[in-house]
Amino acid sequence: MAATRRLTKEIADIGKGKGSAYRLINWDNILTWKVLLVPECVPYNKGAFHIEINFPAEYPFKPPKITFKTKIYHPNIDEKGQICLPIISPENWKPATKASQVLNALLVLITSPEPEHPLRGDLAEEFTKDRSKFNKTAEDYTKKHAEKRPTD
Amino acid sequence: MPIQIQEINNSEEISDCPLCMEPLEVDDINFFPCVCGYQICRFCWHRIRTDENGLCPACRTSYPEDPAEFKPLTGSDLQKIRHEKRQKEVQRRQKLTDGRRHLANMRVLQKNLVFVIGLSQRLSDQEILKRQEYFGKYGKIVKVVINNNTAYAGTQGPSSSAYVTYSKMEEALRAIQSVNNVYIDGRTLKASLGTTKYCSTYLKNQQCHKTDCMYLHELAEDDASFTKEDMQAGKHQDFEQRLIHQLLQKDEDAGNLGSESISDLDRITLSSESIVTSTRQRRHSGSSSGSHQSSKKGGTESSQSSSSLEDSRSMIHKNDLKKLNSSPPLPLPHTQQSIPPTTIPSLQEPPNHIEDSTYNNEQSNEKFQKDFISLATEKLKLSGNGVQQYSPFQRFHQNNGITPNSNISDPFHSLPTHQPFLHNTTDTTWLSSVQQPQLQDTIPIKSSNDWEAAFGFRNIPVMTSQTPQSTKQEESGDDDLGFDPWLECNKGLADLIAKESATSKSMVGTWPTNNQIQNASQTSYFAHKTDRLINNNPFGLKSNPYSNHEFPTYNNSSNSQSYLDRNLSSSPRKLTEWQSGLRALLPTVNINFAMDNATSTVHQTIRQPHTQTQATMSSQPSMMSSQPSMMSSQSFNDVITTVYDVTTFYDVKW
Repeated sequence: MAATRRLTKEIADIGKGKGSAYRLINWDNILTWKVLLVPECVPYNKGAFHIEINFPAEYPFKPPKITFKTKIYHPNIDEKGQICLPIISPENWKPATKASQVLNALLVLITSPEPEHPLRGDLAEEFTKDRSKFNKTAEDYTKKHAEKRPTD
Repeated sequence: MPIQIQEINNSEEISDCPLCMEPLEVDDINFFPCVCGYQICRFCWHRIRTDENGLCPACRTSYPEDPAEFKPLTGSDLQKIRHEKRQKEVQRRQKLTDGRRHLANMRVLQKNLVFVIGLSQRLSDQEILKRQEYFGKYGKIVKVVINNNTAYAGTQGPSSSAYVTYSKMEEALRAIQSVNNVYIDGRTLKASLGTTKYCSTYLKNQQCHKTDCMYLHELAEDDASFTKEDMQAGKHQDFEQRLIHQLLQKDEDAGNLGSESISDLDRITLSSESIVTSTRQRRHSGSSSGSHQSSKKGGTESSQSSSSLEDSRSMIHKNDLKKLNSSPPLPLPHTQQSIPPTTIPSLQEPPNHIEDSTYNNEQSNEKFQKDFISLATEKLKLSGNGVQQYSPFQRFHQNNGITPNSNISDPFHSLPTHQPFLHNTTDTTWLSSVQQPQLQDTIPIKSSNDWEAAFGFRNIPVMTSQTPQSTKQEESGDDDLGFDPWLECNKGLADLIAKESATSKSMVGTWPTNNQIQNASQTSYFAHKTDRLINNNPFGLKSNPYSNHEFPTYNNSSNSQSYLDRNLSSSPRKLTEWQSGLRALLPTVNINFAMDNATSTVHQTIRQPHTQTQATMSSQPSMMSSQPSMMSSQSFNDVITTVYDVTTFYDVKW
């Protein structure tokens, strides 16, 4: 199966990712990865975020889907954990794109939200109009809901 | 369709399709479907164009109808590529083979493999060796391979070797410790860790198609690998000793009964088969028997109170059963006593004569009797004193003074220990007494301290003390060892007692002679002591249904016969077992034990060799004569074995 073969290789390339901003936690089912995001930027640097990447059997011809398992206060991620990431939208998907590139793109999105394509309009508005208030709320939210950051 | 070449994977060139990660085929190498130069295999290209959106996976421009750049390989190109591939493959193989060539001379010690030599023909059977009485008791046996080809006529006569594969290293080491130097069927077993070599297919980097191939197919650890030179230098033995040492250490740490004491106990037991099938009559006076005294059994020299010849044969004297592992080989010359035929008449003598078997002096018949008397007197004195705790050495000196016969000037003393006894025509069965397996490479010594047994003298309630014999050893052992063997032995004995009383269970059984030993020891003066030992003895006896109650003392042959009968008639189930066992062992003989005539049938089975013995008393090899005694003393657990021996007997006769 093409997907398995390619994902196996991608996992090997990613490795354990210690010290990286994302860590592959679990890939028992090779089509479902569990990844821990460890962002370095304010206001999300007080916690870590569990996400799940679901690869379709047609991968890499079809894009993977990403869901946040940890609540996050972010204009581009809704309460259900759904995320709007252009690189993995079916229209833009390129089979040449690797999962590591997807994850890097996701980290960039978290660091710099795109209020012009929001999933949560109220947060996008707050983000553009009152950045300090947004940051304060997001940080509190992170402390309250996010996972503990790995120590190593 | 172009020819595909498999496994083109080369580290120096990226040859996987980036989408499906399959290696690019030869004809894909020059295939670039998009103007951006992104290379994919033609399978993925076809799929994108038919099933997907038809866009380049990298630049998302539509694929043109024809690949942007594709120069099909010419036939010569293909051939060239294929040739290169083959070349590389050959080189790779060569490299591997070269790397393994030096392994051809390597022998690798297998930690779970026991190599044992000196097996008699009777034991040269996989199923027998696997039994609980033999190698089975030390652990789970994965495989037994018998090599009959090494039957050589050495000093011990033809024997076989065997490889016994255990599931664990500990089991193998325990087996080695217990079995090494055990004396059975007239031969001394030698056990060590076995080695193996690399499979020739592995050396050639090929697949081995043999199922269950015993040779190695992967690189073994360096520590256990030895060249022939290493082996000649004994390095593998050092390694083995190290492993054993580690095991002992572990045992001690775990507070378990150490394997040392286990093996000691095992050594106590002598396979009854050795009595039965041994065609040689031996008297070994071991130089190391002085140290044997250290064991408890050493102190339990039994004086047989029964007078029957059969019974005497069933007795095993364990005077010098043991040798402490720690005691170095004593430099005494090994002595063997051969009994000249002239002593045979002594069989007819009244059973009041007792001879301390430990005096290995073979004298004329006349003197022999005299010695009997004097020794008996002496022993009466000694035993009357309750001298269990006597130092054997002390006693020896006493005896030395009293009995004129206790000299070492016996002409037979100079005989090598393991020379087979020459006078096979003498009927007396020399019980080969329990031998001492030792960790050291000393030649194991048999002590057949059982003259009464050999000559059928019984009825003397006097204890044949264990002492005098050891004295010789002491004298010789004292010389330049730099330590007192008696002290050492004493220490070892104390340890052993402590361990045994502390331990009620063990994983190791005994060789089948247990019953006989027990039997013998119960008739002994020190019976109570031995009893305690045996009942506490966790080895093997748990499988012996008679171990927990009084074992009958056979005062004569009829007694033992009746005991057998009693058991048979009182227990039809046993009879059935017996019958099936016999059937299994004698497929060609129609065996049917009816309940009513069960005893008589059994009687027949037993008595036939028995009468043979009596009839041929002075002319038959001891093997024959020793049969009945075995029957009488064996517990029914061992009946199958017994029957087997009986069949051996018949084989001989037929």
